[in-house]
Amino acid sequence: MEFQVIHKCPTTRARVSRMVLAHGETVLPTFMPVATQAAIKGLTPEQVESLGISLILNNTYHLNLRPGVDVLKVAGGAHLFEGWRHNMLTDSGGFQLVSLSKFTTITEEGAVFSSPFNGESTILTPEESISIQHAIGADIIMQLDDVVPSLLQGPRVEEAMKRSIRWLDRCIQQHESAGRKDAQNLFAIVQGGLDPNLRDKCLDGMLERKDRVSGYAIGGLSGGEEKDVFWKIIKQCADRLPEDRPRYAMGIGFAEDLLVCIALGIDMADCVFPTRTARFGVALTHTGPINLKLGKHAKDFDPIDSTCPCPTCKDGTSRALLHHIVTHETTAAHALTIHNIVFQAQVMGRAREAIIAGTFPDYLLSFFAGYFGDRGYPEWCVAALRSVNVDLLQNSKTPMVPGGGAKWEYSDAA
Amino acid sequence: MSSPSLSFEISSSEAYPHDSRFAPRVAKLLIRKVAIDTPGLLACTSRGVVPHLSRDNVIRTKGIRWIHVPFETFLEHKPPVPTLQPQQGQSPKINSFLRFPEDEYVLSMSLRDPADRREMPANTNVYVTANCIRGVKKVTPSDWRSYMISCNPDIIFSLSDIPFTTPPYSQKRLTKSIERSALWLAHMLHSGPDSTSTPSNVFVQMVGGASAPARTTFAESLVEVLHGKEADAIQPRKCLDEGVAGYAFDMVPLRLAIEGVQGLSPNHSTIVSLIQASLLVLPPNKPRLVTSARGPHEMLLLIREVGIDLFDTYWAQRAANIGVALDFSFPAHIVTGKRDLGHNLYDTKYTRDFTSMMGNHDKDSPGICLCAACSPYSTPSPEILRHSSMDEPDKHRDSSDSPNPPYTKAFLHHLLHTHEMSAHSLLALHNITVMDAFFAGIRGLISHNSASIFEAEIRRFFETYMEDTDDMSRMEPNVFERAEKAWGEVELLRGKGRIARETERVKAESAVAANEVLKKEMEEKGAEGAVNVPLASNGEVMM
Repeated sequence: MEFQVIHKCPTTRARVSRMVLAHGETVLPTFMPVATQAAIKGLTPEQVESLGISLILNNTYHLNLRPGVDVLKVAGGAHLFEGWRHNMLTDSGGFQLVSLSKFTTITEEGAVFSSPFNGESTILTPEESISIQHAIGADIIMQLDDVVPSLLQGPRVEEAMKRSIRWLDRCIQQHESAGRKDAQNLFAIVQGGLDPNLRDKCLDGMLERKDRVSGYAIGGLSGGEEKDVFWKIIKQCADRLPEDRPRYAMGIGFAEDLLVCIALGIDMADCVFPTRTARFGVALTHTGPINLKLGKHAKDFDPIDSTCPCPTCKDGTSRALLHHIVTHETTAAHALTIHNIVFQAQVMGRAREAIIAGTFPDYLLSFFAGYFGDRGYPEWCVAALRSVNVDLLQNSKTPMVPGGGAKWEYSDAA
Repeated sequence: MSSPSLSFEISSSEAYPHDSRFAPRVAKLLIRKVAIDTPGLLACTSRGVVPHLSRDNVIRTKGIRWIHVPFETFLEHKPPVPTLQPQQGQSPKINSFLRFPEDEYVLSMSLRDPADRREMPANTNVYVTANCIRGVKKVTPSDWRSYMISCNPDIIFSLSDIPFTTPPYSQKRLTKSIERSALWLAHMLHSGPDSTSTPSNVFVQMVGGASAPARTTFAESLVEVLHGKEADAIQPRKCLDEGVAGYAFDMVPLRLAIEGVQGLSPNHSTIVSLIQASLLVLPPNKPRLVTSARGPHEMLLLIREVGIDLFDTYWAQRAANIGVALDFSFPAHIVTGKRDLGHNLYDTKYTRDFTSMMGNHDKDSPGICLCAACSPYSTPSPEILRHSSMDEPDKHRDSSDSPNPPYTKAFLHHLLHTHEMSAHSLLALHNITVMDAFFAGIRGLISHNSASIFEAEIRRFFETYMEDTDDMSRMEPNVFERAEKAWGEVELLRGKGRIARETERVKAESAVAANEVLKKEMEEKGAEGAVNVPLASNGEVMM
């Protein structure tokens, strides 16, 4: 991997960098759409590529199940199998330990998944996860980490954190001995739950391995924790992580979350949110999400956003047409998925542009004003950005509001 | 505001006399700047969009140049939303609403979806029943006329009384159908002082059900010179047919009507003779359109026996919905033995098949498929979206004009089994492209060759590919039936309760398997006093 920081924001901890991997260049900070089962749902790689996306995420757990490692090996890897010619990142299967935890037992050896259908068990070890990711062939691969639910407390959290470091070593070992160190880049994942002490200990351990990993992710968040806790953990980790390694916040997708993370020093994030909410009929805009299922949009002949460069909006597809087809036609899911992917890319792209121009704080102020001006700034956003010298409340009459602040659009009839 | 008129020019052919009533013909239908070569296709839409294809994928599917839009889903609002579309320049409202530019597409509209075979409440003298998500709506000829004047599509299907009640239809019922349909056509063509505009391109759905005399009677009423008040209503035209731009034949109600008649079956010759009964007295130089034809075999026969010009792609789009990638051409591929019209990509034999959907043919066969799945092209670099000044999508890319590698059967197989929507997008654009190439092949053979060569190629097509029929005598399900079954199984594997269902299924399978093993052991070891243990179909031992 070639990784170079090109611009740094003098006010916040944001930076713009360039990452060159085996399948091309990706400029950071960036948002990665998720192609769980070897496809961004509903779209072809040609479509995704045309939207200016150069890095997507594939899911190791799912690809291992279907089509399976054997088929992927014969195909020559996931890029060739699914027709994606640019950069790809695979997670390790670690998240499924949490999301499918009903069927999982964790041991030191690995994670034992028992099939819900016939009780057959398969074990996912760090070595196995790395092997599968080698067969998939993604440009960035993730260590297998011992993930626990964000809100879990007690000794299990520390156990998981320490085990994650031991598993990182096993992943590094497997990765290097397979001779894949130059073709694929291994990232470590910082765990430790919501406990700053455990996070610190994890950082201590993982930073010692800096020369053998290509990047660092911050895991174990985005699981329902208070936003005020969330940003502090991100900040703590980002402050300590090395400048010359990309920093990846896992499972972050809301625009406000992404911008706060960028301000705190994060370079990459992934989330199913924008593509999933698209399939549910919700279009994301710079003033908040629009729920196209609502009757209020049935006779609105304007596009979602007339300034949006996405094919759906540039073509003039109206909210009225989208309302007519949303949740009834897959075509609606595709049109909205295209729009939301471009929205995410625009949020990140404008951030990059502002960092390059030295106006990132202004961008933050204007984005948040446009997005939250009608409701009030979430307190946690104000606090998080203040920690990096940006005051959302300066020159603003908009009040602060408590809570997570995630925006939604409700029916007028309710 | 009326649409520009359509012109339909039939090419002269050495093979077939120009003015023969029932013979294949190549023609060009022209509306504004859009030229449709016939025999050719129109794409079906659902709720105003081509199923599974976003606008950019419709653009990538060059075969889509004519789209047909059933109006009925818009009845869910009063007034229907497309009629509220603000005028954008000179574009017809329906084109503005659905985003199909009028100088790139022909857009036709009927009230009902021609492929909808569901039973409907009876039509009356004053309304037709139509379906929308809020249930059955009654649409009067005035309603229809005003909707169509507002939407202003290139081609309007006149309101016809096509019964969707249970057949057989009595003589009385057919008479009503004929009379109402003619009356409603007159209503549509009316250009009296109270109306501000007249729709100019009206197609008529030919009624009369399974009765040849009824069908001929209806046709006669179109060409009959009208007198008195009836003539005034449609002036300056002398007969209804002068206001008709084309004739439409709907296979779904036709088959239903035929099936309702004892002693008749919807085979090719019955269908052909009924369509011919409609066209017998009508001018042959107007376009003839068939909806919901059941595959290329039927289409070839309708082209040869009747001279049909246009077919909708209902059958091909439905194949895409159930996971079948069409793989045929005209002239037919040169192969040994008889093959299916396409591939059921759910079949596990495709798990490692890395050929394209229309791959693996010998060099002498017609060329590769040019659809966006078999010959995918990346968007040219200047058109790729850039989100910051540092984005350089053309860096590190090999800039060549050749397509990317095709999407493989193995990948489509994976997408189908993982219930991914992109499977259907790729299949839809592929299947429509196969149909487009099919018609191009037909046009080539009609234009340039002798009749005997065209006939021979039709015969060879029938020998090469198995027809998709309802034939009950068939022992084995055909590729479409197998695909639909597999599609159903994947659907069942999802959703609430799926783990319980899957667990039951796995348990049942392993019980059957265990019993098989036990039985085999007993047979082999010759257990003392061994008896044949009868098993029920679910694997349990019957006592």
